[in-house]
Amino acid sequence: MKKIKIHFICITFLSLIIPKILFAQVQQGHTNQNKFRQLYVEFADPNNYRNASGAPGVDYYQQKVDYVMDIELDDKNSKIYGEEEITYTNNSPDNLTYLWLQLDQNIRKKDSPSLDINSSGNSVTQGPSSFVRNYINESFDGGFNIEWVLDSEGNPLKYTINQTMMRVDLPVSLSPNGIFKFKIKWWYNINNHVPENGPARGRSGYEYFTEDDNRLYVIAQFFPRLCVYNDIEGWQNYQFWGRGEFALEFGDYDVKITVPDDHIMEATGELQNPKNVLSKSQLQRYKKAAYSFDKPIVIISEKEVREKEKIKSNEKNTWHFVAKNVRDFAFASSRKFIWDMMAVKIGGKNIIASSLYPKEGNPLWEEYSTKVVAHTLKVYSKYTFDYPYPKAVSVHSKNQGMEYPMICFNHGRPNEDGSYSDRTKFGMISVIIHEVGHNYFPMIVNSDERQWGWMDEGLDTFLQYLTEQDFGISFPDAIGDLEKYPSRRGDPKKIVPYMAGNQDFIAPIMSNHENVYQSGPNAYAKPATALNILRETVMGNEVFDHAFKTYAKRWMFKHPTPEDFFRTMEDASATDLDWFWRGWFYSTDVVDIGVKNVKRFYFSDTPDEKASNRLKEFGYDLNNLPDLVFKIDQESDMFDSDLANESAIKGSKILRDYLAEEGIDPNTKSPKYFYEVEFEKPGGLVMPLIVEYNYADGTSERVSYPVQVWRKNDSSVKKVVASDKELVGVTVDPDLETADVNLDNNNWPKRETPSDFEKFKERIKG
Amino acid sequence: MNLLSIFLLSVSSIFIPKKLDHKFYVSTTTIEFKEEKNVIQITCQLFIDDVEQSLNRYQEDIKLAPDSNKQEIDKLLKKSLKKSIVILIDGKKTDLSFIGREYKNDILQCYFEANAPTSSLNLSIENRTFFDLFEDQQNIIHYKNKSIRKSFLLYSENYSATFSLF
Repeated sequence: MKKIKIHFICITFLSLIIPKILFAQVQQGHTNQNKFRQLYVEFADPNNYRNASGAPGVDYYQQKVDYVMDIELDDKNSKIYGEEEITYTNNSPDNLTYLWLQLDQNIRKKDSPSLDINSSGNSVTQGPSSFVRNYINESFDGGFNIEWVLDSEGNPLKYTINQTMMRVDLPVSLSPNGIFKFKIKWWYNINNHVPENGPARGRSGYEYFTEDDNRLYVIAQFFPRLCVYNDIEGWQNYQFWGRGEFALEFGDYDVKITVPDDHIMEATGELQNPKNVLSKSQLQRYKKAAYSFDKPIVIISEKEVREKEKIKSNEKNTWHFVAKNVRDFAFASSRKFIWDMMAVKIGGKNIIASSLYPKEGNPLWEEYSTKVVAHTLKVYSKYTFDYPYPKAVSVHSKNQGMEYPMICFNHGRPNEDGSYSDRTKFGMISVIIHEVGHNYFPMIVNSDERQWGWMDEGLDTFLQYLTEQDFGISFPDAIGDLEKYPSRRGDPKKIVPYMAGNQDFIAPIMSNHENVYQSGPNAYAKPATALNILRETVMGNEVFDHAFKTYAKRWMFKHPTPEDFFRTMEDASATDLDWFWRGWFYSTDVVDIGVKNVKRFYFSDTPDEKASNRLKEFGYDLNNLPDLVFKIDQESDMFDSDLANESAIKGSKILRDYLAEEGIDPNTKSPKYFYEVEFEKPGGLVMPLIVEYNYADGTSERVSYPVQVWRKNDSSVKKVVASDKELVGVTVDPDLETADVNLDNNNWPKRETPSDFEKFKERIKG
Repeated sequence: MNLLSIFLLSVSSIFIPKKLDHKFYVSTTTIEFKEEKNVIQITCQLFIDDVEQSLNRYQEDIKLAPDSNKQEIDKLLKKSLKKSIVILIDGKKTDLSFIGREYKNDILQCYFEANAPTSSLNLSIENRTFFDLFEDQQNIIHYKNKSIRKSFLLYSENYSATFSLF
């Protein structure tokens, strides 16, 4: 007997050890792979520029760049000319020997390398417009023509252009706190952003209206602008390839724009000379609108515009705008513009919300645009800071959705007969919320868009979701029969098709905009959803909102990095979120959590076979055990279903006596039913475990176990449920709030969630 | 050589600089194999705007959601999707039968069903939907058979995927 036993143990021992011996002589170690380990490797070290709390450090600096510009728009030839005087203040601790400027228009140059960065050759079809663009030489001649670059004395400065950037060499190096003034003269051909054939693309340009032979200009990234110089990158050196947007310095702008006399214009900044550019009646309405808080006042009506469109003035007029502390400047101009305006009170200040749109935008635009602008300012200010600029403008621009300080260009055009679908309406409301919202991120909280698309797009899309939902409540008529505003992004279950996709084509959020396959879900929807989950499911609204607001306020008019955001969210909430950032932002892992098994059990004074064996191993004498209580579960040899219908402690005299001694009535105080519930986690992401327990009497109970349940075992966790009621069902993530990619394992007893296909088929069967 | 043949021989898909917040050309097709019923269920999710633009090439005045002409749209949709989505089971082309369609916000969901004989092993899908319309269209394929899940991304240079049903 003894021999056999030893023999058996030997075999077991060998079979366990052999495979390891085959691969390695010594046991293999590993580095810390725990999902909750800190992000010390991934994060840049905190320093005097950016501290460990995620706030600007004691030595934080940023450059200041002020512009005085004279611009002329040549409507007949669709050209734009400009002269700008730039005052550059070096707040850095470094001596600068050259300055870099952005020439974003150069992406439209015929030889722009941005046309060549994508693979080509195998497409089966292409639109005639791209054929012309690529193979016919007479394609659009865009890009900056720099006439001269002079110092303040009028002496030429040496400059070199590399694609979309221009280096200006300084005659003597610019020391810390030094100021350098220089001037640039330039012009370029304005592109048609709605070409006749093919898809309309590109930020800014003009749209041509054949019917009345007029152009509608939305003009942006139209002048040479200083690149950012900072403690992270030195000079920004990432070219404009088309998707990654802008990184610009804050400064003051004084801009005069000359356009045809009959044009109406809006721009970044406050209009300085309304008396010179508006008629007497327009001026009256303009002044009245500044105090109209309940509805927009029409300054130029559709009827007036229809008259104006027919006659074209040959005279010119100059509009003068001044903007303080902005990072960019844009404008829109056309004789087709209808103009309305209202006031909105934010933090005791009157802000102007206004809209410019051609008659082609009506009746949709007169109904919603300005109201949406006002609503967006209110809701975003609640979650961040009081809107610091004097105004926000929404401009109708076919197929566009693009943001600049105080002004943005938005799509949403009704059919020719003025009718429009819900899709067009909600598309327009959403894009206006989104683009006006960009005033907060990145126009004011000025992250580097060229490096990190998600820092502005993701945060903005997150607040867009909250604002849309709020809009549905504030303007119930606008959503009609719908239960809530139909947001495209933000709801956790909507990100599932993307996150569950083929890993070869998914990149972590912490990737450059240019280098990802699907920048929509990657930079907009996933970060927005992640923040929504963080707010609703992980942190709770109050804790989250305070931390988010702290980030926004800390980095107003400054240049934050991803670490500054991550650190502030933790610092201001006393919540370690490194696991969340690691999983959602630095990896492409998915959420898949399920319930694996539920076992009923009761207690007994007698051990079952399994327990007996364990006791023997530990050297206990089974005939003389101390006071111990044993768990008898459904899989045990001792499990007695008759006993199971009694109280769970009925079979344990030891427990009953103990309770009685403690003064607890064993018949009424002890829970009747005990279950061991095992949860599994096939997905790589750790998340709080949200469970609904359903009982035989029809009641249910929600329990949210903290995410830390996964800290010692990344694949499964067990929980005991003790209840007076019989457990009949367990559901993981019952409200679909975690973006779980696989719902097949979310229920006990196992239940397949019917697919849309099956629900539809069932419905049409009647 | 005429213009058309130049197109077919030498054209390339060209990147057009863009950002334009929301316009990303993507569709999602979910294929679920129901072994016990010997069928595959196909759900195509398409952006309504894209479908509208695509159908407008057959008939200019078509509007979706609300539909300008339901029967006509059904007919055109069926025709164009069956042309752009081809499913082969063990190398043999299968007939897709159109079950119906419904709108979910700005998405159109179309449902198709196909027979999958008992001993079926492999499935190939070609999905060229909207490749003729948008140069950067991407079609995502999700496959599901009980706990088995597979996922593919199809684009104009790589428009088909073949995989085991199990």
